Amino acid sequence: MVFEVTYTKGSAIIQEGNVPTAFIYLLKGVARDSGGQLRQQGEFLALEELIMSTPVKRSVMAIEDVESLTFEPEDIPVLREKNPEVLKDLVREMVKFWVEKLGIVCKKQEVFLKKAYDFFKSKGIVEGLVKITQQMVEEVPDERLVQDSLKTLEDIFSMRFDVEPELPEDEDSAYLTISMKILDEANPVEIYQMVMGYQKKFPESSHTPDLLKTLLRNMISIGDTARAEGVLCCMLTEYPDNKATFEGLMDYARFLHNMGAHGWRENLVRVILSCRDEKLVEEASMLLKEFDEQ
Amino acid sequence: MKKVFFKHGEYPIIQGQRIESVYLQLTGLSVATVLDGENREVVHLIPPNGFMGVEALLDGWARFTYEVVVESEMMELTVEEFQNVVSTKVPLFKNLMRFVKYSIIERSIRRVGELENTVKVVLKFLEKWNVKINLEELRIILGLKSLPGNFEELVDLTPEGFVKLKEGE
Repeated sequence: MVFEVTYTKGSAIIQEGNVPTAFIYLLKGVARDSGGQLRQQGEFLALEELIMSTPVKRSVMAIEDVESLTFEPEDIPVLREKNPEVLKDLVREMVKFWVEKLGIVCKKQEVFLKKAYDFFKSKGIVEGLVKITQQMVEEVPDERLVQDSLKTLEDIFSMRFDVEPELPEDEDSAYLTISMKILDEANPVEIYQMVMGYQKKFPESSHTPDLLKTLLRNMISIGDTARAEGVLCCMLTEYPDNKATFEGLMDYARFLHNMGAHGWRENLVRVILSCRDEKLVEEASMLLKEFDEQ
Repeated sequence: MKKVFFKHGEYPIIQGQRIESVYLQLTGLSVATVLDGENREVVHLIPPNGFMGVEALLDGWARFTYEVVVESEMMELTVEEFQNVVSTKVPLFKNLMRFVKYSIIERSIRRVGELENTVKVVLKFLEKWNVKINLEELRIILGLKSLPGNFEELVDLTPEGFVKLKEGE
């Protein structure tokens, strides 16, 4: 039930230590809490305590006659009929409290956009970059920022983003360079380019299949299905009998299954039929059985 | 109002963007993150019945980047539709209250920075919400670049590969 309650001057509206069970909205008049803060028309009392189910921190006294609305969550539809503005205020106040409590300092929109832009650029996540650039062009007044984001987007679409970084001529140094990049958790797109470059340059290297397997895991972890499939395709074509390729097939099968996508069965069957490593075959058979049962 | 699907790794809303839609998470799991240069901080989870983009009610733009961790079904609502349903449907209003409460509690625990405690709380929440995740998804929701070596002391894996709290925790 929605109640209109009047508190006469000097009476307590809320007592410290009680756990509130209803919303109290001030319609008219002024009250003061035990911290000395004035509480006026249009405010909710003890909203934080009600949401968090904690005892009231400060008592509130009416310093003149106060009219209030008291209601519970079940009364929302009634309140919407009688006083929709109160409800609008309530939802907004809840969201405001939520953002404040999460400690997200209010910054300008473009500051948030720039931080997100830097993140997506460093990780090479194209989907995020496209969304941000679109927003920047529309809303950010900083011309330099807009130009920068447009250039990144242009690079992506003209594939300049996929230009292979230079690798040392010597096989071991090149391997070391890539390993360091992987350890540093560098931009996954850059790692992708380097490993694929290494494969082209040193196809016979004993490191290549394992590097490709690591790259495949990397692409799976960032959810880049297109690149992951490209890596797996390369492994299957160039190193069809290598253990790393079968391990890659298993990883990709798990990924597809977790995503609820098709194709995982074919990968597992391929391991079972073609792999010579008994342990891997056994693992693939168990996975197949397990996924089939789900 | 329409039902939409998001895959693992998709970003329905990006911080700094103008929010066109509020999402009600129906199934699956997402995280609210704050991005900063090369880093990101996971602020809280969005479980089934949680919301994405409610900050639109303040000034229309996103404080968080929301990332889908476990493939999700969501209800996409315009901001106006969201205001409407939340003020007519009591269960949705209560869900919003619960979501606000739990995300604040989760944020406080994450801020303390004790991994063991965060893992316990997060996994207990997930158990309550009946959301199953694997190790990779756990790494993402903890906001870690890699899982620490002693991780096996904290969690067990089910035969299906899902993470669960050690017995007795």
